[in-house]
Amino acid sequence: MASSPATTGIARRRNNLRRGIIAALVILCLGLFTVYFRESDDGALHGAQSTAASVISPVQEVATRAVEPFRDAWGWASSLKDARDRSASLETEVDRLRGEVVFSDVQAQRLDELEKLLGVEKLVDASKDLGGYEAKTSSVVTRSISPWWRSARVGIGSSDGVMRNSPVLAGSEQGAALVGIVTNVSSRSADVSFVTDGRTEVGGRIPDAGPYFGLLSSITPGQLQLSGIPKEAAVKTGQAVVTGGFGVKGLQSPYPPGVPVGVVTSVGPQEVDVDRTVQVTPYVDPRTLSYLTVLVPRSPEAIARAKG
Amino acid sequence: MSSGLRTRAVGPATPRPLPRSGSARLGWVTVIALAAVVLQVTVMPYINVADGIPDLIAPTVVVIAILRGTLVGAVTGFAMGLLVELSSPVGTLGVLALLYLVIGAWCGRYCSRDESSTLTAPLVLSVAAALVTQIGVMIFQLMLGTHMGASEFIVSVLLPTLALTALLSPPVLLIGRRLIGPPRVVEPYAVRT
Repeated sequence: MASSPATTGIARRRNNLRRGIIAALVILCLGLFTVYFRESDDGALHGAQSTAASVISPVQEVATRAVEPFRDAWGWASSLKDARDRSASLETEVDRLRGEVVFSDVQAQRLDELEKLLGVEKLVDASKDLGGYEAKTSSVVTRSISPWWRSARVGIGSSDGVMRNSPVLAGSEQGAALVGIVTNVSSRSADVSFVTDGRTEVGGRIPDAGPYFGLLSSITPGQLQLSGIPKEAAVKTGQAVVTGGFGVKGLQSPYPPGVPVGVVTSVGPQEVDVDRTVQVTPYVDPRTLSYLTVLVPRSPEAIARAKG
Repeated sequence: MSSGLRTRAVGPATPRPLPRSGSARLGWVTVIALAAVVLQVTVMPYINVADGIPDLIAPTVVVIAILRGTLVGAVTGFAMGLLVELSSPVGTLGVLALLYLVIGAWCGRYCSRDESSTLTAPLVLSVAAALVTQIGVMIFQLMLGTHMGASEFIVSVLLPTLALTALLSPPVLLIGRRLIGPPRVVEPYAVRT
């Protein structure tokens, strides 16, 4: 059956229009991600993303609360298996830590006196002194939709004093530990990039291995690598890794010094390398957390750190 | 009437969705698309196996494209991708929009074919769409300098994502069909006279 020339003509024009619209959308997409990556963090597209985040975060919060009982039930059921073993090991650990607390108090007092004497910036200790930061805990309202972006959104924003580059901590068995940094802020929410995200780099050091500084970055999902540690450093597995707090080329590090990040799990061969390859496992797996603590900068030093 | 004739209903054994007007269908397309985006950015990140998260957007774009054609599929894919990037903590804008646009435009080609009235073809297309999205995002991340081992990507990310998407796809496809209605009849445009 043959269609009339008029019908075929209209259909052809419709087809051309359809192709034109699709081509225009493809060009728009290419333009969007080109501009997005070229503009600064204060650019128009980043601003639109922040506005959309503040609009949708209440919806995300409601949905997260609705899902939370099911998530908690799953977590409770899966933790039953090793609850007895965990309880025994925690009791042993509590006894050991009680002994350490006595020495820790004496050392803290001495450190405080020395810091005042020398005018050194205070270390962040979540249990005693936050060194110019105010801790604000918030629930995680959503997480990244892909493992390529290791990030989450918390339900506090610029109206609570949160700034871009505010450090983010979470509780672990070893105390509070660094989990990430605020990368985008709207009035009611803040996006947190975890230290295990491929784009996040943290200056770190191993206090027990000597006065050496390195750079922590994610090599594989969930694992970090500390690069730049010279081979003469006495690195051993099990040593703690903390933030270095040092800056590069006149720029300050957004991370205060001395915040625990993780533990050394493997040290690479050193025969031919100038530097050691140190693999670090973070104390906290941020993907499992429901709450995060944002260190809101309050002192001039802390605000200067966040502003870089 | 008293003609004395008895009438009998003749038709398929399974009930077919009632035909809807064009604007009602587009209304349902909008509702389904928005609901899928909200679920994707709020609930789906918590339904994870290893590092795999189900892709609810892929089957939604597929079912809309396969029932409403290339243009509606492409525009819906673009809008859903952009909304996800705007409302989820991801560091891109335009990447997912482009990937879902291409998926919508491609799957729309099946609108006027027999495949649009089966369940197997949209299911296969949904899993293929999730695969295309994952590989597209991976290529983009590699261009940005973010690395992940090939075996880790396949075992921890790709396979769990595809399995979870395949599990979620049938209800999405059935709901989509129920609400949007039967496939749109596309006017032939390349008939030679």
